[in-house]
Amino acid sequence: MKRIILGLAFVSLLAATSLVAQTLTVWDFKYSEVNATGAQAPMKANDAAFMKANPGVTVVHVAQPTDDTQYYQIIQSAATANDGPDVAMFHPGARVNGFADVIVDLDPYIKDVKGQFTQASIEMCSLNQKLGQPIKVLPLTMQGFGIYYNKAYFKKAGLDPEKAPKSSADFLAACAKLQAAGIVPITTGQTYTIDFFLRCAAANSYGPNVAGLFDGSQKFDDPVFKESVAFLKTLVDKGYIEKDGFSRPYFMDSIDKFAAGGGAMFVGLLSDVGNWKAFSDKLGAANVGYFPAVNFADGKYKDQQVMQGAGIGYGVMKWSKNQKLAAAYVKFVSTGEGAKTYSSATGALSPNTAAAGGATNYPVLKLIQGYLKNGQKDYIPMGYNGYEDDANRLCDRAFVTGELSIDDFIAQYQKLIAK
Amino acid sequence: MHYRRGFERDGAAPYVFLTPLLALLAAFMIYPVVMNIITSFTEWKGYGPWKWIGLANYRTMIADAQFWTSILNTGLMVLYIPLSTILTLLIAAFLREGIGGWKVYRAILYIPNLLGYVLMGVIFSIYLRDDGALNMAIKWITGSTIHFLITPVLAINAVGFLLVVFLHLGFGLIYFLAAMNGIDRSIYEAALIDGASFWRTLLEVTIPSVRFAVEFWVVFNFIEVFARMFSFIHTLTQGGPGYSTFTLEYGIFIQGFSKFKVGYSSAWSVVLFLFCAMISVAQIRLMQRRDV
Repeated sequence: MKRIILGLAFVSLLAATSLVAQTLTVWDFKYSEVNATGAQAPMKANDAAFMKANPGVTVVHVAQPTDDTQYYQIIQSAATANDGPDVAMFHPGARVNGFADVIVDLDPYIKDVKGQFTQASIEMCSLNQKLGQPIKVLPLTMQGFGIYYNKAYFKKAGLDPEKAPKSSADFLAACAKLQAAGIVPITTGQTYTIDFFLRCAAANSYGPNVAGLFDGSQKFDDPVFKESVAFLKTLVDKGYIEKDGFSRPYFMDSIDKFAAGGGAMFVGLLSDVGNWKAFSDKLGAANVGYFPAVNFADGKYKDQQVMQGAGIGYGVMKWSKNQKLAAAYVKFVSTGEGAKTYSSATGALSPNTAAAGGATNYPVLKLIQGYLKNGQKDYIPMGYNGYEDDANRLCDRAFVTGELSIDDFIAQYQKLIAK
Repeated sequence: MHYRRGFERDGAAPYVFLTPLLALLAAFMIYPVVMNIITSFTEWKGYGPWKWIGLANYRTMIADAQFWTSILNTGLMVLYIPLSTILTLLIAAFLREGIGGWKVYRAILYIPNLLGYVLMGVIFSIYLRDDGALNMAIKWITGSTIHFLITPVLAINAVGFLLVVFLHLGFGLIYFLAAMNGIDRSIYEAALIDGASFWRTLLEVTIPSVRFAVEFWVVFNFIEVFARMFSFIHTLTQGGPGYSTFTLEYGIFIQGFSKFKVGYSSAWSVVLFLFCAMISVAQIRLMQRRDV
């Protein structure tokens, strides 16, 4: 009898455990990063902490392709099947808008933490990037672009390493000196170098009016932006932008090249990959300089920092049977210790004001944080799904192959907006 | 009346054996084609509800410069088919003569086929880049670099040559050698006695004898160019620089899976389907002519 009772108790316990046990599946395009500043280690740590805080919950973190097109194709397949992960990573902006009808509105779940996030990040994570619309994802990072430089190479070329060449004249003179010293002035990462440079240029040309490019109140034929485009063409034509990098198969190769001392300047990112931490850890924290854009004499704005309120974030999928738990996971990793763990390991800038800061031993981070006070929106995520692909193909034609004149490029770039 | 309906004449057995194949054909060929045609009249992003928009996708397509660029680029690839055919045939004819160590050459030339398009695309993207192995050699010899992948005219021709000529060479050799092995040796012996040169034997004995194989090879290459280049282009150039290697097939992928305009992408697919259907009809006609 005793054995029967014990047996029944054991079976009941098993049944109860299986009822409580829940599996949370997370799809992620960053999880395959296993390098020193890669995302996988902090994500694993956060998953473990979440499972510890929620006994009976198992987080299955799936590394999906890092390539945007492939990743969203998989999300598209999941949406077609109406089945897939509970939580998925997204790029706020066009990508979130594209999948908005299969992503849960997070508003009811995040009332207690919403105030921790910057307004810019909440705006970017909201439907159609409009404040007041449903919040679709919670951001893990904020993003932006700017120009990193290797101070040792500046010194070697006879330049003042503590003085960033922010004006167009200084920038050209610096490139010429670097080239004369046998140093690659700007390490190129495919067309992304052009793309990122133009984003920086747009922020610096239009200042707080960048969004006007999409409502028609601003045009790409603004004289300062046009001057930036012509300036960029000069950099390519003079060979200051390393031409070899345009045919480099992987953008990461160029990041590695700059980090290994393969050039004096690099148009890089603020979060994700190719950021201040990755370069500082390789080149030496005191050896990395930064400035957000090239300034032009006629420009109304100077030193404007292009900024996406949110770079990447997590959303909860509508087909999830564990939406509440999934929302708790999203909150866990983007706030408090979760956000700090991710930011400190990867160098990503957190849009969560309660988690931001830290890493005081990186001078370049302080510099970036200063420029962020002049943060202006990035126009690329305001476009349609695939806008960046179309825009980059135009950049290819104007700056890589030389098929388009500056005027044709501006005209066609403007036409894309109208799409 | 000698004619009897198939079922009365043959019984149920052939139909039972055919059913699995027909079911697969219906599920994986006929259904997708029909659905693709229907989808081409809709606005759909690959999931969720469809919106019927009639011919709007086709009107957009006709006015879309990217579409015409893709047709032009696909046409440029087609121009490599004669070169592929002549070169493969010629090498096969040399190998048939029995060059010393020809089995080794044949094996080496077949390696690209074993590796597949994805791997070959990745290998050539590394090999042809400006700071890649080939350019290092060119720079060492000439002092300058050839921008294979970032000069439009070179990029499209690199894709055309590598895909249509180089990557098909191994399979083509095996195929043509097999066809040539079927030629009666006495014809060659007669040509030899008559003092025919290698070229005359090739033109008047070999090629006429493997004519059907050549015709099939041309049709096969057309299908490859229209519908099997995607993986190679995606891994080598991603359709770039700009739209230089942006083919019809690649455009379908970009519209459907990068921009999520699945309805619009389906309209492009219908055009591709029509091209492939025309090629298939040509192939069937060729086969019928041979049967006669």
